[in-house]
Amino acid sequence: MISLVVVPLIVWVGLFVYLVALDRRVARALAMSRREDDL
Amino acid sequence: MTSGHDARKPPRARGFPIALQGAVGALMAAGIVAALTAEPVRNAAGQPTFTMGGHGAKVVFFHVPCAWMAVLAYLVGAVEAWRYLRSRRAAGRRAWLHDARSAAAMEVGLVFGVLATITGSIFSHNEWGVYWSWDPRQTSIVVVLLLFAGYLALRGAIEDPSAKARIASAYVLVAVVPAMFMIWVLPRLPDIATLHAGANQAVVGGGLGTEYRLVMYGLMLPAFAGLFAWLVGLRMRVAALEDRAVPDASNRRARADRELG
Repeated sequence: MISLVVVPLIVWVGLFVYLVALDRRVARALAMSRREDDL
Repeated sequence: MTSGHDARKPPRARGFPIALQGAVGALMAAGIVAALTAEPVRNAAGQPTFTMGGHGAKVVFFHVPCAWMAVLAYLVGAVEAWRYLRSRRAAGRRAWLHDARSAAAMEVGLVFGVLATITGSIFSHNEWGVYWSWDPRQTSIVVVLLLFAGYLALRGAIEDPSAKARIASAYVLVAVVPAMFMIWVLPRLPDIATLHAGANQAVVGGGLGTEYRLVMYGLMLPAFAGLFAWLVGLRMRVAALEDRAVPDASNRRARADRELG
Protein backbone atom coordinates (compact mmCIF):
# COMPACT_ATOMS: atom_id res chain seq x y z
CA MET A 1 0.00 0.00 0.00
CA ILE A 2 2.93 2.28 0.65
CA SER A 3 3.54 2.94 -3.05
CA LEU A 4 0.04 4.38 -3.34
CA VAL A 5 1.32 7.22 -1.14
CA VAL A 6 4.88 7.27 -2.47
CA VAL A 7 3.97 7.53 -6.17
CA PRO A 8 1.81 10.69 -5.94
CA LEU A 9 4.38 12.14 -3.52
CA ILE A 10 7.21 11.57 -6.02
CA VAL A 11 5.19 13.27 -8.76
CA TRP A 12 4.39 16.28 -6.59
CA VAL A 13 7.86 16.58 -5.07
CA GLY A 14 9.35 16.37 -8.58
CA LEU A 15 7.11 19.13 -9.87
CA PHE A 16 7.78 21.19 -6.73
CA VAL A 17 11.56 20.92 -7.24
CA TYR A 18 11.07 22.11 -10.84
CA LEU A 19 8.98 25.07 -9.63
CA VAL A 20 11.70 25.98 -7.11
CA ALA A 21 14.27 25.87 -9.94
CA LEU A 22 12.07 28.22 -12.01
CA ASP A 23 11.70 30.53 -9.02
CA ARG A 24 15.49 30.71 -8.65
CA ARG A 25 15.83 31.60 -12.34
CA VAL A 26 13.31 34.43 -11.88
CA ALA A 27 15.24 35.72 -8.87
CA ARG A 28 18.50 35.59 -10.84
CA ALA A 29 16.97 37.38 -13.83
CA LEU A 30 15.62 40.12 -11.57
CA ALA A 31 19.00 40.47 -9.87
CA MET A 32 20.76 40.73 -13.26
CA SER A 33 18.20 43.29 -14.38
CA ARG A 34 18.87 45.40 -11.29
CA ARG A 35 22.64 45.12 -11.85
CA GLU A 36 22.19 46.33 -15.43
CA ASP A 37 20.18 49.30 -14.17
CA ASP A 38 22.92 50.15 -11.65
CA LEU A 39 25.52 50.11 -14.42
CA MET B 1 18.01 28.40 -21.47
CA THR B 2 17.66 31.81 -22.99
CA SER B 3 14.92 31.48 -25.56
CA GLY B 4 15.59 34.74 -27.22
CA HIS B 5 15.53 35.94 -30.72
CA ASP B 6 17.95 38.70 -31.49
CA ALA B 7 17.16 42.25 -32.56
CA ARG B 8 13.95 42.80 -30.62
CA LYS B 9 12.88 42.64 -27.05
CA PRO B 10 10.91 39.50 -26.24
CA PRO B 11 7.22 39.96 -25.57
CA ARG B 12 5.62 39.51 -22.19
CA ALA B 13 4.29 35.95 -22.15
CA ARG B 14 0.73 35.78 -20.89
CA GLY B 15 -0.01 34.11 -17.57
CA PHE B 16 -2.14 31.00 -17.21
CA PRO B 17 -5.74 32.24 -16.67
CA ILE B 18 -6.88 32.07 -13.06
CA ALA B 19 -10.08 30.21 -14.02
CA LEU B 20 -8.01 27.48 -15.69
CA GLN B 21 -5.72 27.33 -12.66
CA GLY B 22 -8.78 26.61 -10.53
CA ALA B 23 -10.03 24.03 -13.04
CA VAL B 24 -6.68 22.22 -13.06
CA GLY B 25 -6.59 22.20 -9.26
CA ALA B 26 -10.16 20.91 -9.02
CA LEU B 27 -9.58 18.20 -11.64
CA MET B 28 -6.37 17.10 -9.95
CA ALA B 29 -7.93 17.01 -6.48
CA ALA B 30 -10.94 15.07 -7.78
CA GLY B 31 -8.62 12.74 -9.72
CA ILE B 32 -6.47 11.96 -6.68
CA VAL B 33 -9.52 11.26 -4.47
CA ALA B 34 -11.13 9.14 -7.19
CA ALA B 35 -7.88 7.26 -7.84
CA LEU B 36 -7.31 6.41 -4.21
CA THR B 37 -10.93 5.40 -3.56
CA ALA B 38 -11.40 3.40 -6.79
CA GLU B 39 -12.14 -0.30 -6.45
CA PRO B 40 -9.07 -2.58 -6.73
CA VAL B 41 -8.67 -4.45 -10.02
CA ARG B 42 -9.95 -8.06 -9.90
CA ASN B 43 -10.66 -10.66 -12.55
CA ALA B 44 -14.01 -12.32 -13.17
CA ALA B 45 -13.31 -14.84 -10.41
CA GLY B 46 -12.77 -12.02 -7.94
CA GLN B 47 -9.01 -12.60 -7.71
CA PRO B 48 -6.82 -9.46 -7.67
CA THR B 49 -4.82 -9.12 -10.91
CA PHE B 50 -2.29 -6.69 -9.42
CA THR B 51 -0.36 -6.69 -6.16
CA MET B 52 -1.71 -5.11 -2.97
CA GLY B 53 -5.04 -6.83 -3.46
CA GLY B 54 -5.50 -5.18 -6.87
CA HIS B 55 -4.66 -1.67 -5.63
CA GLY B 56 -1.24 -1.85 -7.35
CA ALA B 57 -2.93 -0.92 -10.65
CA LYS B 58 -3.54 2.59 -9.31
CA VAL B 59 0.07 3.59 -9.95
CA VAL B 60 -0.99 3.97 -13.60
CA PHE B 61 -3.15 6.97 -12.65
CA PHE B 62 0.07 8.91 -12.10
CA HIS B 63 2.57 7.04 -14.26
CA VAL B 64 0.59 7.05 -17.52
CA PRO B 65 -0.32 10.78 -17.50
CA CYS B 66 3.34 11.65 -16.83
CA ALA B 67 4.41 9.49 -19.79
CA TRP B 68 1.73 11.01 -22.02
CA MET B 69 2.84 14.52 -21.08
CA ALA B 70 6.37 13.63 -22.23
CA VAL B 71 4.86 12.56 -25.58
CA LEU B 72 2.77 15.75 -25.70
CA ALA B 73 5.96 17.74 -25.04
CA TYR B 74 7.60 16.26 -28.11
CA LEU B 75 4.56 17.03 -30.25
CA VAL B 76 4.24 20.62 -28.98
CA GLY B 77 8.01 21.06 -29.23
CA ALA B 78 8.07 19.83 -32.83
CA VAL B 79 5.02 21.82 -33.99
CA GLU B 80 6.34 25.01 -32.40
CA ALA B 81 9.83 24.38 -33.79
CA TRP B 82 8.30 24.03 -37.26
CA ARG B 83 6.31 27.23 -36.77
CA TYR B 84 9.45 29.00 -35.55
CA LEU B 85 11.44 27.97 -38.62
CA ARG B 86 8.64 29.20 -40.86
CA SER B 87 8.34 32.57 -39.10
CA ARG B 88 11.96 33.18 -38.04
CA ARG B 89 12.77 35.63 -40.83
CA ALA B 90 10.30 38.07 -39.31
CA ALA B 91 12.41 37.92 -36.09
CA GLY B 92 9.55 39.39 -34.12
CA ARG B 93 7.17 38.57 -31.32
CA ARG B 94 5.64 35.57 -33.06
CA ALA B 95 8.98 33.92 -33.84
CA TRP B 96 10.12 34.45 -30.25
CA LEU B 97 6.93 32.89 -28.89
CA HIS B 98 7.22 29.79 -31.12
CA ASP B 99 10.83 29.16 -30.11
CA ALA B 100 10.17 29.85 -26.43
CA ARG B 101 7.14 27.52 -26.43
CA SER B 102 9.11 24.77 -28.15
CA ALA B 103 11.98 25.11 -25.65
CA ALA B 104 9.63 25.28 -22.65
CA ALA B 105 7.71 22.19 -23.81
CA MET B 106 10.94 20.21 -24.19
CA GLU B 107 12.17 21.19 -20.72
CA VAL B 108 8.83 20.44 -19.04
CA GLY B 109 8.68 17.21 -21.06
CA LEU B 110 11.98 16.11 -19.55
CA VAL B 111 10.57 16.69 -16.05
CA PHE B 112 7.48 14.58 -16.81
CA GLY B 113 9.63 11.96 -18.55
CA VAL B 114 11.81 11.58 -15.45
CA LEU B 115 8.71 11.33 -13.24
CA ALA B 116 7.20 8.70 -15.57
CA THR B 117 10.44 6.71 -15.35
CA ILE B 118 10.57 6.82 -11.53
CA THR B 119 6.89 5.96 -11.04
CA GLY B 120 7.14 3.23 -13.70
CA SER B 121 10.13 1.79 -11.89
CA ILE B 122 8.08 1.58 -8.68
CA PHE B 123 5.27 -0.16 -10.59
CA SER B 124 7.85 -2.55 -12.04
CA HIS B 125 9.13 -3.36 -8.55
CA ASN B 126 5.60 -3.98 -7.24
CA GLU B 127 4.39 -6.13 -10.10
CA TRP B 128 7.52 -7.76 -11.53
CA GLY B 129 9.87 -7.76 -8.55
CA VAL B 130 12.65 -5.51 -9.88
CA TYR B 131 12.98 -1.76 -10.22
CA TRP B 132 14.87 -1.97 -13.49
CA SER B 133 15.25 -4.86 -15.95
CA TRP B 134 16.14 -3.15 -19.26
CA ASP B 135 12.75 -4.14 -20.54
CA PRO B 136 12.31 -2.72 -24.10
CA ARG B 137 10.02 0.02 -22.81
CA GLN B 138 12.42 0.93 -20.01
CA THR B 139 15.28 1.00 -22.50
CA SER B 140 13.29 3.15 -24.89
CA ILE B 141 12.41 5.71 -22.18
CA VAL B 142 16.15 6.08 -21.43
CA VAL B 143 16.75 6.95 -25.09
CA VAL B 144 13.80 9.36 -25.06
CA LEU B 145 15.16 11.07 -21.92
CA LEU B 146 18.62 11.31 -23.53
CA LEU B 147 17.04 12.99 -26.57
CA PHE B 148 15.36 15.51 -24.24
CA ALA B 149 18.63 16.09 -22.38
CA GLY B 150 20.52 16.45 -25.66
CA TYR B 151 18.15 19.22 -26.67
CA LEU B 152 18.79 21.18 -23.46
CA ALA B 153 22.55 20.60 -23.72
CA LEU B 154 22.48 21.85 -27.32
CA ARG B 155 20.62 25.03 -26.34
CA GLY B 156 23.06 25.64 -23.52
CA ALA B 157 26.04 25.18 -25.81
CA ILE B 158 25.13 27.79 -28.45
CA GLU B 159 25.82 31.42 -27.66
CA ASP B 160 24.11 33.30 -30.45
CA PRO B 161 20.36 33.50 -29.65
CA SER B 162 19.32 33.33 -33.30
CA ALA B 163 21.54 30.31 -34.08
CA LYS B 164 20.44 28.71 -30.83
CA ALA B 165 16.76 28.94 -31.78
CA ARG B 166 17.35 27.79 -35.35
CA ILE B 167 19.56 24.80 -34.56
CA ALA B 168 17.46 23.73 -31.56
CA SER B 169 14.31 23.81 -33.73
CA ALA B 170 15.95 21.62 -36.34
CA TYR B 171 17.06 19.22 -33.57
CA VAL B 172 13.48 18.81 -32.28
CA LEU B 173 12.18 18.06 -35.78
CA VAL B 174 14.83 15.36 -36.17
CA ALA B 175 14.58 13.98 -32.60
CA VAL B 176 10.79 13.66 -32.64
CA VAL B 177 11.01 10.81 -35.18
CA PRO B 178 13.21 8.39 -33.15
CA ALA B 179 11.39 9.47 -29.96
CA MET B 180 7.98 8.51 -31.37
CA PHE B 181 9.47 5.27 -32.73
CA MET B 182 10.86 4.45 -29.29
CA ILE B 183 7.55 5.17 -27.56
CA TRP B 184 4.95 3.82 -29.98
CA VAL B 185 6.64 1.31 -32.29
CA LEU B 186 9.62 -0.46 -30.67
CA PRO B 187 7.81 -1.95 -27.63
CA ARG B 188 5.03 -3.23 -29.93
CA LEU B 189 7.20 -5.02 -32.47
CA PRO B 190 6.10 -8.67 -32.68
CA ASP B 191 9.47 -10.18 -31.82
CA ILE B 192 10.06 -7.88 -28.85
CA ALA B 193 9.25 -9.52 -25.53
CA THR B 194 8.18 -6.87 -23.07
CA LEU B 195 6.78 -7.02 -19.57
CA HIS B 196 4.59 -4.09 -20.56
CA ALA B 197 2.37 -6.15 -22.87
CA GLY B 198 -0.12 -6.82 -20.08
CA ALA B 199 0.02 -3.34 -18.64
CA ASN B 200 -0.40 -1.78 -22.08
CA GLN B 201 -3.43 -3.90 -22.78
CA ALA B 202 -4.86 -2.86 -19.43
CA VAL B 203 -4.54 0.83 -20.27
CA VAL B 204 -4.64 1.19 -24.05
CA GLY B 205 -6.28 -2.05 -25.12
CA GLY B 206 -9.57 -1.39 -23.40
CA GLY B 207 -8.70 -3.54 -20.39
CA LEU B 208 -9.46 -0.77 -17.91
CA GLY B 209 -12.85 -0.94 -16.26
CA THR B 210 -15.35 1.87 -16.65
CA GLU B 211 -14.41 3.46 -13.34
CA TYR B 212 -10.69 3.42 -14.16
CA ARG B 213 -11.31 4.81 -17.66
CA LEU B 214 -13.40 7.61 -16.18
CA VAL B 215 -10.72 8.55 -13.64
CA MET B 216 -7.90 8.27 -16.19
CA TYR B 217 -9.44 9.98 -19.21
CA GLY B 218 -11.97 12.20 -17.44
CA LEU B 219 -9.86 13.50 -14.57
CA MET B 220 -6.15 12.63 -14.51
CA LEU B 221 -5.20 13.16 -18.15
CA PRO B 222 -7.03 16.52 -18.46
CA ALA B 223 -5.56 17.60 -15.10
CA PHE B 224 -2.01 16.69 -16.16
CA ALA B 225 -2.54 18.32 -19.57
CA GLY B 226 -3.65 21.52 -17.79
CA LEU B 227 -0.65 21.30 -15.49
CA PHE B 228 1.61 20.82 -18.51
CA ALA B 229 0.17 23.92 -20.23
CA TRP B 230 0.53 25.88 -16.97
CA LEU B 231 4.19 24.87 -16.52
CA VAL B 232 5.02 25.60 -20.17
CA GLY B 233 3.45 29.07 -19.80
CA LEU B 234 5.39 29.65 -16.59
CA ARG B 235 8.65 28.57 -18.24
CA MET B 236 7.98 30.94 -21.13
CA ARG B 237 7.42 33.81 -18.69
CA VAL B 238 10.75 33.01 -17.03
CA ALA B 239 12.43 33.03 -20.47
CA ALA B 240 10.79 36.37 -21.33
CA LEU B 241 11.90 37.83 -18.00
CA GLU B 242 15.48 36.61 -18.52
CA ASP B 243 15.64 37.96 -22.06
CA ARG B 244 14.07 41.28 -21.15
CA ALA B 245 16.30 41.68 -18.09
CA VAL B 246 19.51 41.19 -20.03
CA PRO B 247 18.89 40.56 -23.76
CA ASP B 248 22.41 39.28 -24.39
CA ALA B 249 22.84 37.58 -21.02
CA SER B 250 23.98 34.30 -22.50
CA ASN B 251 26.55 36.06 -24.66
CA ARG B 252 27.89 38.04 -21.73
CA ARG B 253 28.12 34.89 -19.61
CA ALA B 254 29.99 33.11 -22.40
CA ARG B 255 32.38 36.05 -22.78
CA ALA B 256 33.02 36.07 -19.04
CA ASP B 257 33.67 32.31 -19.14
CA ARG B 258 36.19 32.78 -21.96
CA GLU B 259 37.96 35.59 -20.12
CA LEU B 260 38.15 33.52 -16.95
CA GLY B 261 39.19 30.33 -18.72
